[in-house]
Amino acid sequence: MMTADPTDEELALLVQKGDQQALTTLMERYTGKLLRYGRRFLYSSDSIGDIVQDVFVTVYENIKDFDATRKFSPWIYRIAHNAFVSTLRKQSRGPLYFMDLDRIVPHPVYEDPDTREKEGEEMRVLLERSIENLSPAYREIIDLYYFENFSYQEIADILHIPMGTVGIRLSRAKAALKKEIPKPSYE
Amino acid sequence: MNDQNLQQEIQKKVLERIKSGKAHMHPRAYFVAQIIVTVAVAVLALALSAFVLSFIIFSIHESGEQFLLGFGGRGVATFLMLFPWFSLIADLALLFLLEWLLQGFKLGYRVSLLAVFLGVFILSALLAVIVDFTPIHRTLLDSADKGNLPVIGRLYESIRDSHDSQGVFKGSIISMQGNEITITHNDGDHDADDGTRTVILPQNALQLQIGDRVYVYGGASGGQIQAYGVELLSPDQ
Repeated sequence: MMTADPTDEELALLVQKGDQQALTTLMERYTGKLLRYGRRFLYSSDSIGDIVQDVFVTVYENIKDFDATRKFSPWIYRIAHNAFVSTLRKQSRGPLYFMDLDRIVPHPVYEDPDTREKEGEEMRVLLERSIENLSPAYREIIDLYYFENFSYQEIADILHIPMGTVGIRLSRAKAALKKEIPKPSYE
Repeated sequence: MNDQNLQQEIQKKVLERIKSGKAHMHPRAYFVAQIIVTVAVAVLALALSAFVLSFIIFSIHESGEQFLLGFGGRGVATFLMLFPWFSLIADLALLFLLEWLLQGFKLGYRVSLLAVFLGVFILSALLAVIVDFTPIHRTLLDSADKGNLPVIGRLYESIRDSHDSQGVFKGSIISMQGNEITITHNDGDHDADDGTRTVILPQNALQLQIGDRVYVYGGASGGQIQAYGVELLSPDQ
């Protein structure tokens, strides 16, 4: 039985049965989020609206591939990730994930639940200030962790990388972000 | 356009594309078929990889080239020169294809690339050892010898190739005198390795007798071969 405020997964099940109102509700929930994700990831692309439109069409076309026993948000972000990566490749901004050395060997995983809370605000400010100087791969992982609040496991499922690689990429992204900010001068 | 209007515009256009029939929901069978095709290609790649790897093991053993590893630094260098690198590269390409296919599954992307590669390599190697216990390569080699094996026949025939220029000679002993033996080789292909040769044995050579098939590694000069090492081959090698 449908609740008054259905979950994303319940809505996805309805879309699978052909309910377009459920699709509209899902789009209302995710259009803003995907636009924000796309703007941070692609930064200067002016076609984000069109890409997000294509993402929803892909979601509709592939909705029967969605397993409703799992969370919907990592699934739709995976589709959006693929669409944004494809756009970056077309823009020929150099190798995005061509040779990711961090994926070759395993890395230990340690997800500190307090880190996001402690560093979240600092990262948000740093990212807004220096977003254009950061590589897309780093912009994306910071966005997914600090802005979209995904867990390591969910990010691993969105990016199709091991959890250990999520941790190492996130720490490299934070280091790169902090390096971008000029140190305060006391002269 | 402000953000609110943009969001409404996106949603409106998506619904229009669906209503106009430009976007269709794929049936579940479409995804099942995709998985079946991916798994079938992966299984085929694994089977081919195991076959190629078992061929490498068989060809090294059949040609007797593993003996070179016991003939010192020069032997090892010659072994590396004669190694079937093309087959190994083909096998690695199949393993990389397999790794790429597995990246689409949780099992594939949740562990490091190195772990996946080692996993598929070990699996392929185990299957290759099993294939080597079967008579499949021996049967294919016999067919190639008779000229009845199209496409991969040349690959099998290369096992019998002569490597005189690398100092590798094979043949059956037809006479012995002191530290000299005469060997003869005829694999029926009328090429340069067919014929009779005199071999000067090294001091610590094996006890040999007429009729033995031998693998000789040495240098040719003045119509004779000065052997660095000699090993016994099985009658069918």
